[in-house]
Amino acid sequence: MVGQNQKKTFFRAMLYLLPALVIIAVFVVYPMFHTLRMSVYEDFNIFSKEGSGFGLSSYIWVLQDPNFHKALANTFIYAIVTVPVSIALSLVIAILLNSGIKGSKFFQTAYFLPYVTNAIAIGLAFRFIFHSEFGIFNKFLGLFGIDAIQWLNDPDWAMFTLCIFGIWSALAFKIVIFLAGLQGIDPQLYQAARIDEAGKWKQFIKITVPQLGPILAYQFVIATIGAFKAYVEVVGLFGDDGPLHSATTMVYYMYDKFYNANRYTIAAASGVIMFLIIMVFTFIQMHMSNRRADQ
Amino acid sequence: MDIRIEGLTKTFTGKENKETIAVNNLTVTIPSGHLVGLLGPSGCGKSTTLFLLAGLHEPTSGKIFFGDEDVTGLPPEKRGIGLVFQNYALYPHMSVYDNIAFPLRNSRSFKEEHKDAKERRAAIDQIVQHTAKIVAIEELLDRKPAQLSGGQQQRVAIARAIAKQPKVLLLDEPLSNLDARLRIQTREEIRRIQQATGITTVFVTHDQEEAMSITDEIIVMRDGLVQQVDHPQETYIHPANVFVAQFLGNPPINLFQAEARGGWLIVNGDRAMATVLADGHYQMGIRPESFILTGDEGDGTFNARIEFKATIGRDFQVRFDINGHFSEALIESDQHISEGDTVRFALRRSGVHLFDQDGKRIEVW
Amino acid sequence: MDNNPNRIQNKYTRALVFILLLLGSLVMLFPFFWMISGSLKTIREITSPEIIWWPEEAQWSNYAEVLTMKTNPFGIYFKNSILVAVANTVFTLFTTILAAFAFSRLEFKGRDKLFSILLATMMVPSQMYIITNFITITRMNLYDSLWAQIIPYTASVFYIYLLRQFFNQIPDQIYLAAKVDGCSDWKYLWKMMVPNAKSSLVTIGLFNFIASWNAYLWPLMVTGNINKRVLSIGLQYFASESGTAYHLMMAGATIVVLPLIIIYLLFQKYIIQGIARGGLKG
Repeated sequence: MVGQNQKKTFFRAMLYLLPALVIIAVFVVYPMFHTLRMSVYEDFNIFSKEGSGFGLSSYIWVLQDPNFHKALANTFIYAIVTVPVSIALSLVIAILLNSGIKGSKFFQTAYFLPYVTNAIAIGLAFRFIFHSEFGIFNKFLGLFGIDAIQWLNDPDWAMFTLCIFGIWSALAFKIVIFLAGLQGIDPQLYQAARIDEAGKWKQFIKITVPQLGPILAYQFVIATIGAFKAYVEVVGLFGDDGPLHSATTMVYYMYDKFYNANRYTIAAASGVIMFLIIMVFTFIQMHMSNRRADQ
Repeated sequence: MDIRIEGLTKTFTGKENKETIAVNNLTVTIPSGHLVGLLGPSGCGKSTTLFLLAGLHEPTSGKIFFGDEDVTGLPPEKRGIGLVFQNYALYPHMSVYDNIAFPLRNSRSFKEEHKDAKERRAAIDQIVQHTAKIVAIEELLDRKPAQLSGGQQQRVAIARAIAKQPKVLLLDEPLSNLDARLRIQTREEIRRIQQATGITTVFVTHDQEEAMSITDEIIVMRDGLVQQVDHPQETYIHPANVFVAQFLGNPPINLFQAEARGGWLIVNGDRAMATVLADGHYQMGIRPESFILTGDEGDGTFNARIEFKATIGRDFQVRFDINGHFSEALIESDQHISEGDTVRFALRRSGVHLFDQDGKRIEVW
Repeated sequence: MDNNPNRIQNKYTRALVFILLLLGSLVMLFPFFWMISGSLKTIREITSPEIIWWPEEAQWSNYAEVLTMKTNPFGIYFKNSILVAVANTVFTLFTTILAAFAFSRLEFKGRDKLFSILLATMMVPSQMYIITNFITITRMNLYDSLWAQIIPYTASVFYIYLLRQFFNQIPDQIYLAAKVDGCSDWKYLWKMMVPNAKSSLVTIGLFNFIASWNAYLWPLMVTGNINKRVLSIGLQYFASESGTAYHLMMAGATIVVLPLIIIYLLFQKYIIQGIARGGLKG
């Protein structure tokens, strides 16, 4: 356009970008490098910002720490259980919601509601429901003569209870995405299939599943990344990391090492390890969405 | 206000630094108060020229004058132009009234003329009402653009462009988004508004009929180069070159190679037309309406075998070979003619054009 | 004519699906119901070995008790949560609008490169940088302030990305038309783009508000003083200090969740569309 020169445009653009860039630079970009830097020292003074004992000792320490092993194992269990179960359940619910049932407006509202709720508050409600003595769950089981189970206090049950809470929390988001996907399928495909005398099941296998394929893959990756970051669900349900640390997770481990134990370099190293694991899944997702874009 | 364009050139640098010349050394003068059509196929540089006039593109070289003022370095808002876009570009969240008033509310000179806010508002209101009346949308002022038909949106866009009393009105393919019936109606409307306001108007189109029917002058462009600047009828009757001859006219002109031999142009082996041209090969163009069925034989006529015939209302459309080129003629439908017939044609001299092998018009033949 | 091809024709199957959905929705809603019901019970009712679905007499006083507690002042928590979430949202919208505009409309050198660098930062989990951010905030002397909870989250690459997508849909010609009409960039942003992007901005604002309201780890790290706590933190402390007073805990939890439910019911359309369109993070 006449009356604009490059330098002036650049300068003006920077003015528009300044507020966002300053915040992002200070609180996102800088911390990435700084955390990485902290992780390669054995000890780090957060006030003088100087480290001592350059090397991978913090990583070695973390990788040899049985507590980290526990956190890693729990995080993987949590991901492996909650991701497939919540995806399968939400897909079924989405399909049922999409089948033209009366009252589906109400049902949608009900199924989406958990998306907006606070994990601490609703975790507290779950804590109450699963309470070994006053909890309605045990009372209910009692009606069938089943003895009270220590859902929250028995280390063997803790992960199980956490997974139930995790699945319940994760459903809403996935149902919304699946429902949007289902509604995006061209109805003519189904009409054509019906003319070709394909039954409901065949329509599901031959039309619904392939059409939802990319969404399904997307959900898997997003949910897995989310599961690796599990933290607030644990605190919400147990108040800490479960009986005898039985439900500790990677984020919990990092927070604990940083905040309670003041082992800054250890926390940083565990953060970097977590980042690397998540990175693998991010790359899978990027690869998939690129492939989708290519098609 | 007349517009003078001198040596205007615009190049774009695309991917891999490939340069394309969109407008190539354009020099033309548009007289004050005229309605001028910029005509050409897509990619010929006509829209770029319009955007250069508007100041939305910066020229690579050359100058633009509005009257005596050199506006080349002026940003769009300082040029005193009104611009109507192909898809109207109405502000979707504003009412029709606010759309029309928007340029006035922004104008600094208007603010200086009407210092008092209250008085300014009254002045704006008066102009909006007046402009709305000119384009006949008085009853639509409260509506949002989405509630209007295509033709109505078009009028609003024109109203917005002329409300600030521009020195120059620019229209970019203003009719291409309208259906056929509305297009004819609207183009007459544009002509009416232009004559009522007397604003020098440049209007870009790829539709020759549009350009022919309402403009005072046509600028035909191709690949960034001006082909011809003339009155609309002149471009049809005296096309400057093969491109103009082919681009104007519907159905298009029949163009083929013909030989001049011994004072005759040879068509389908017959001596079809007398000529003063030296012996040699030329490009010959015949307008479809210039064929005359004749009972005569001998010089001045030629043979053709009808391959195809269709009745289109008043005329027959017939197709046949001329010098190996599949050609088309329009014949009055009271003639008896069938597919497979071999007929004899004479030619109306005014509908025949000759060009040299470079495509340039040969004036005397 | 029914135009939903997925509609189940068989009447009995339809009844079965209805019942399944009903049971499922009861499972989804039950924690909410149980929380609210619990918040209105007496201590005797809540610790009773019987299943009591609804208290004999609703104990609204539980709420009064929670809100006026000395040790865990929920009134202050509530105020803090509102302040933080509103400030956060206002600032985020401001930085997002400006940045999205620059990325979508202004043609400056290095724009695309800068934008891809920003997008790349989205790959890093936020949990990784809170360690450093804690150090930064402490050095800025902001520990134990509401600002500490607000400032680090006043810009979001993800929201910039979303809004830029929307801004890009506004045709270039509108911008050019406004230029011809003498409209400056600044004016164009606020008079043209923002009014047209209203629904996107509402969605972004809602998501930001909800995320801020539910934030836990970061506010936990940067607050020590009771008077600077937000609801999530306060509720967690309260829960760990109040033993078996589950009726009060449920009242506290309801106070935290109720605003979210109200927002959800009011803006359901925007929230659902936001998730479906942007694939917003779960």
